Amino acid sequence: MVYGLLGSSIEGYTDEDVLLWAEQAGATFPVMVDDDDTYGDYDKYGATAPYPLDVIVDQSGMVAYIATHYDADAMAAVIDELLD
Amino acid sequence: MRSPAAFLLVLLACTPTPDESGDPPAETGDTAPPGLEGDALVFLDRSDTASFWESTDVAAVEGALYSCTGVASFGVHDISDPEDLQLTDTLYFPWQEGQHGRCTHIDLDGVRLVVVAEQDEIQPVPGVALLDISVPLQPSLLDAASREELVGLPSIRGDSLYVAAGTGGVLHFDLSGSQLDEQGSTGDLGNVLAVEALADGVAVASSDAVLSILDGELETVGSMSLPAAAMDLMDLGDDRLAVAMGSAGLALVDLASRSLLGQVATQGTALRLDRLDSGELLVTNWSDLRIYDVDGDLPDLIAVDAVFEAGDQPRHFGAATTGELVFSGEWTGVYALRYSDGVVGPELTPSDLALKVPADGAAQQVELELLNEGQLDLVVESLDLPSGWSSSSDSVNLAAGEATTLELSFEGATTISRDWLEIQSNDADEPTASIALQIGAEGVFVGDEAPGFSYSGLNTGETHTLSDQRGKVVLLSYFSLF
Repeated sequence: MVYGLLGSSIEGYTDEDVLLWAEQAGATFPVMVDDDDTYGDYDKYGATAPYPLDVIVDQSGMVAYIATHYDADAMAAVIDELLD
Repeated sequence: MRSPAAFLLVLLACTPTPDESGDPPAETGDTAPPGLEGDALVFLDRSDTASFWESTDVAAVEGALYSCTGVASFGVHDISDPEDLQLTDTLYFPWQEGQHGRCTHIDLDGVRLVVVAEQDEIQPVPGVALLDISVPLQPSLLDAASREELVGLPSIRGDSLYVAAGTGGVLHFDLSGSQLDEQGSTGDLGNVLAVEALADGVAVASSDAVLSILDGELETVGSMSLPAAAMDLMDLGDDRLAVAMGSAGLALVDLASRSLLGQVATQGTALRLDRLDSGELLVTNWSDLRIYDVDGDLPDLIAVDAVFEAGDQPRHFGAATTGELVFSGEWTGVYALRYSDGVVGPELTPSDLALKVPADGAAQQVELELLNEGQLDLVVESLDLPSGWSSSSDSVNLAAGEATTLELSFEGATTISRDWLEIQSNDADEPTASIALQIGAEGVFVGDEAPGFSYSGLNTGETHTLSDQRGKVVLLSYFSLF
């Protein structure tokens, strides 16, 4: 399952903007607004972390991977290992 | 202060447009950086920007550096001594009393400087300004105009100025009269994100990953699809163009045949491009700066470096070069580095930038690996640990490629706090490496339970609850539209 989450602290866009973006980007996964700021829970350095932030949650609900660098190869490796 | 991140365009979840042209596939690069790094980029000095806002773009000529600094317009820095940068002036836009846009982009041609101010919720008036920089430290305003439409990246060449204007296409100004003489704009080219003035026209990149080539009359003479939407373009001459594509990396294209020559991942977000006098390409990659040899069809990585502030993460918004100097614009400052290809040095690479122990009162032990990725001996001169912490070793000498593991002991605590381990070494571009020491459960780390949520999917109309996905692997991708 893939979820896309938009930072709730960013002002200035509407649900319609997000929907338009999701269509244009061809997002096939659920796109949600992170109203409870779970993003902030991953802000482990205490400084303002940038977007994007990628998190992989394993089958038991535990965090297996956190990165603020988009690295498709590293994520694929983690997912392969979890599904192995 | 999280809002500045909102202005970075990150289309992480965007699927790159496949190349359907039927052309032979372009070469694809080996994404791994060199095993042992040189130290081609050496930190020299830092200068504050004119406000607390980030430096979203920078441009340099010999003796002067210009930095966009958000609502406070832009700063002028004396760089005659690059080891002692000085902010000498702050300039504001004049086009409407009490209002000015948010300085976001700068370009220059040595004697003229173009500043573009985007619209935002604080400063509602976007616009373009033209300044004379024949006296580099004393820019003087030649002309300025507010705009009705969105304006973005500018590109100046000869007497032509082109400005990316989103769905408004491309604006073209003639500068020969030392003013912004508007020549017109293109028709519909999609959502234009980046432009690059060419010797006889302009290259235009839109958000649907199309690159259009226009002649001097703004007539489209050809187009091609790119692997992903472009953030910035750089003319390399000989009909070759470099394309920064955010998380999709860096590409080189041939403008004559309108074909992709090669593409490499940059392990970051390729945002901005500049060119060193010696010909190499400088890529602002959000999490680091990279220098590529672009003589071949495939960009060849020469140097990668990040500027750290103590206790902070690297984040690079824009970079510029003059001579052998490289300047990086960051949150609150601009940084000067010297580029010297072939220079080698030590390079300290810690295994973690943050270590966490529980706040359960018990004594704790954690491991930190230190690796010397450089090509000369690394000497760790001191390990400054906060009270309550101790290390198995307080001096470390590592040969090139060598690693060691420190055992860090903590006496235990029951209250949540964060402190820093500071490692002083002879790594010239990162003389102090800071490792966060987190005591207690503030923030989620690998191995912790993921914080749950229950949100409605805007594009699904269903409610999605993380705990319902137990038994499955879930990828959470947090991003911003801006």
